[in-house]
Amino acid sequence: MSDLKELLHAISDHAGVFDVTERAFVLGRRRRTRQRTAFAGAATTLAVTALLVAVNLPARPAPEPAITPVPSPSPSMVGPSACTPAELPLPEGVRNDDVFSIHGDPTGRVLAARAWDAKGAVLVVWVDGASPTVVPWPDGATSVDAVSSTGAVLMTVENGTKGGREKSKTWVYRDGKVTRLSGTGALGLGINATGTIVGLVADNQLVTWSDADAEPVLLPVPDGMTAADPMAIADDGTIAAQLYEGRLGPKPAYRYSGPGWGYVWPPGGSPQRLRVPDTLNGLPVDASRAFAVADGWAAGNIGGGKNEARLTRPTRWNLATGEVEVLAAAERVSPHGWSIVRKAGALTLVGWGTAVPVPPMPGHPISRNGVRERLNVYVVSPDGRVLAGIQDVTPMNGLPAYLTLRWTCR
Amino acid sequence: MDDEGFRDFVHARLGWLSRIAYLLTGDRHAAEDLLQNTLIRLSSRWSKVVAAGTPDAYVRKLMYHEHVSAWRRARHLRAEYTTAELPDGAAGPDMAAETVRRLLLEQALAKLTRKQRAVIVLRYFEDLSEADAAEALGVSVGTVKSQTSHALARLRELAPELHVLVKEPNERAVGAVRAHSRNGVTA
Repeated sequence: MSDLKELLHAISDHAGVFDVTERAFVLGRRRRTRQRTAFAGAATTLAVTALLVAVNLPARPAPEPAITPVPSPSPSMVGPSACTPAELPLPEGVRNDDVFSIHGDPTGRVLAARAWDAKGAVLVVWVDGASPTVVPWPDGATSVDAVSSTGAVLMTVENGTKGGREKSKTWVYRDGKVTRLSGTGALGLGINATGTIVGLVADNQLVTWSDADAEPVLLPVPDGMTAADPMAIADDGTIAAQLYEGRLGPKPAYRYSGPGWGYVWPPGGSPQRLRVPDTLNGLPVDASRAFAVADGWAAGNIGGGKNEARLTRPTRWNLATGEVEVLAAAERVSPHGWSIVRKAGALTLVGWGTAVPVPPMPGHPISRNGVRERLNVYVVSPDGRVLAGIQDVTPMNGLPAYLTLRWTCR
Repeated sequence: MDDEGFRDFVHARLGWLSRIAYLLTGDRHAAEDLLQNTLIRLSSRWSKVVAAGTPDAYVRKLMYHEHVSAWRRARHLRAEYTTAELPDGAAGPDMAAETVRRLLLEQALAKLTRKQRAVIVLRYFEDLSEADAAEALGVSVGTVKSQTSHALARLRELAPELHVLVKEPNERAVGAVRAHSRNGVTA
């Protein structure tokens, strides 16, 4: 057994030290104060909720980023020939290692992330990589989930179940204010330029909200199927989501009984299962998913095979023809088919017959095995022209350090 | 609350807790989130924890609970096969054997369920007894036994190259037989 122990220690050597003591202390103190308030006031749940909303939603008025939506691009057959990294400017008081959960819009112009300043969590929104807008973070939210080209941002907390029902909540930031999405267990997972949101309410019912203040409207799913994430909504209203065979139940803990398949809903239309090839390298394909949709294209993956023979590959669907294309193994893939491939630690943007290196920041070369000085790209715009992510520049035996980067590819 | 006591306690254990969080999540950002959420909960109950006199056991329990409840909240198979993040390509040919083995184990751990991963970290990284692991996870000793057995069998399946390290000294023959015969590993 010593071997397993040694390897676990070797893995843990790469952890670094996460000094979150002060953040935890401050947030823990807030929580204690809230608990006392709740006890002392003998307040009803409703009143406490109202108080929390009053206390925690935007106290600092934030100007809306001035954004003009640009027309949706058509799939870029002529790809970029070079990608150039630049550090994203950070708001005052936010350190480079305090930026998490980066998401981007379909144009590549708007990026949003959760970050930390001295007072606590903030939402940071960049437009064209320029000086960011800072918005107070809704209390309890844990992640940025989607960003629209008009600068609207979904932020979500999934905090378990109560009486067998999900308790998740989503907040929408747009026009300088933050709104809580309505519906029991509301979970917003995609938002488009018109402000339409797609997501789930209690018992995994697939819904849309026509805007952040609207009530949820049920979206039809085929009999015997249950919706789940990921999901996305294109600017033309096309929705892509994952449906599982079988029903959702509290036992065993919210699992589906069958495989999941990627579906699309054309604007106003009924669900259509995305076509998959019968086999993948000779293995019967038994699952698919679609997690991005834009300009008549969807991106996702398919899988087949069991255990160690399990194989997954990124895929791209042409929604006009239904044609599916299986792409080479990659870490990320955009609806137009641009993907991020990692080899010996180095990243490459690949698509449409071209391959462009994704370089690290000058002065911070990545190591050959990609363990230290690792690059992670989290955002690939549909047309592959904008990437965003993080470079780990942790020194040997040092504290974790990161750079928050945006690449423009031309 | 004894603010300095909290800070001193956490500072003294930060390195160790960071390692555990990283082993449980396999990702620095997720590890940082896990550690932070754990410490927020610890901070909000610090006076009671100190009064009870077992802060180490309690912080362990908090972290594993936080980790596994993230699993419970998965209304989707986020942590398992169908993630939006596709797996890494093959490791480069120029890595040292030790590095390759470490990466293989990292990849195999990523395919375990959260509970299985937790039990591997508790038993083989923290070196806890089955009883202490059961206490940390809030489950029975029998559950720890069966989860450990399932986790090791799964590691064997996922990373047959690492067979020497998944031989459990007191492993019960049941539960592991399939994997052994499949991969030609001797129990």
